[in-house]
Amino acid sequence: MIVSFQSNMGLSLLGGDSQVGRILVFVLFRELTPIACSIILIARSATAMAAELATIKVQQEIEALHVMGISVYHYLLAPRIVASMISLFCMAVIFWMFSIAGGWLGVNYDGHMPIDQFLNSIALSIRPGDLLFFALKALTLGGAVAYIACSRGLSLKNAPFEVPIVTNKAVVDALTAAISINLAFSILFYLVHGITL
Amino acid sequence: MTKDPSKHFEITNFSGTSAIGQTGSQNPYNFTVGRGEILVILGGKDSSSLLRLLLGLGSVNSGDVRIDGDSIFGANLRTNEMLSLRHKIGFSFRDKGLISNLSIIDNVDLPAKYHGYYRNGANIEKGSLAIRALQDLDIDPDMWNVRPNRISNEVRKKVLLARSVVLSPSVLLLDDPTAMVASPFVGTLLKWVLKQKKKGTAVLIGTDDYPFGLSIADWVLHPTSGKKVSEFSDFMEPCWIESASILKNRIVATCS
Repeated sequence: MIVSFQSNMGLSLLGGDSQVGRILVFVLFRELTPIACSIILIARSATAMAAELATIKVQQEIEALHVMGISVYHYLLAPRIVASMISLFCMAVIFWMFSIAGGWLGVNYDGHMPIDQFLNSIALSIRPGDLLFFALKALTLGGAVAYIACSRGLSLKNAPFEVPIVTNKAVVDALTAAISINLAFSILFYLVHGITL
Repeated sequence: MTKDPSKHFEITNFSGTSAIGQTGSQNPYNFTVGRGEILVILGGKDSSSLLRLLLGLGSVNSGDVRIDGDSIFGANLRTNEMLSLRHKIGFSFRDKGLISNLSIIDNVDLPAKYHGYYRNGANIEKGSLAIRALQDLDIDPDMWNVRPNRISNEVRKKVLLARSVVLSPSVLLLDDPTAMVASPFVGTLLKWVLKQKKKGTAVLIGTDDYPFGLSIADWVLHPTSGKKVSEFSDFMEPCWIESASILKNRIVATCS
């Protein structure tokens, strides 16, 4: 909403109100939505995953799985990684839908743009490559965040006082990875599609 | 090739380092445990460390562990062959190791479910292996659907023991089975261990409880030489041997 409101204010001075949809696609769809959702996932789930797995390790549950011949990767890591990939993708889609609704409200705060015109400007700005990169970025970010959280959680060396330490490490590492992956995807996108408006 | 039942579980020149500490560094372990034999390893830290190392929980410095001649450390454990070898070993932790988000019955059933014991064609009713293991240790059915954080230490111990035999292993490793349990349970435990022995399971028990260990042992691992002996009087206090003898007589009287 703020992005569209600010863009609309600037663009209306230049007579470019119709470009708001394009700016929403460039800023929100390509960049902000995946990274914002990653931050939500890190705050909401990566911390929980890291703390849970660290506690599990203290309780010797990892050793128990090993003794029973159960793969820690299959039993603990894979379900969390897949769940995070799916949830981050779904969250990104919902985030984007709310962004469109908020954007339209922002544009109409001190002006008037019919909803169909607004949606049309967005639809015209989204390329097939955008959709592909959006999905790939969301899935990769989800998987990476979960993998880092799990591996940091499992890096505990059997002492309970280490649980907050590894949880903290998981958050920092997951955030760094999320920003790096987002940047890498953006660079790749512009290398593939070129920097054209 | 005929396999020698007296050398079912074979440990040669074995030493290593687990999370608890080093073991066998001075005198590497060399012993065999036959089917239906009970070997007791006296001494808490060393015995726990050895039992853990036998399962690969730690780094093995030297030696080999074989079941019916097949090395359990000799190849990549991810292969099906090595996994099937691992199924032959059951291990009961001292106090921890129950999966906290599963109920007691699911904890016991987990290895059977994961390794596909109930798959179509197996002709085993779902959950039956866990139920049998729980019933063998007289665990109250009302407790079966409770999570581990809501049970007493004694029930926890029983669940750990039940889980260790759910896949009917041919080698059973018990880490301090009498720790944290009330005395009346020791009788149940003795009978249960003897039942495993009757089935032909090779049982290794690591314990600090000398009367319990000596009363049930066919062999004891000598604390300094690391060799298995059946005569304990040269290195055990007479009072322990006497207590063990009383306990043994009671077991015989109860079981007969």
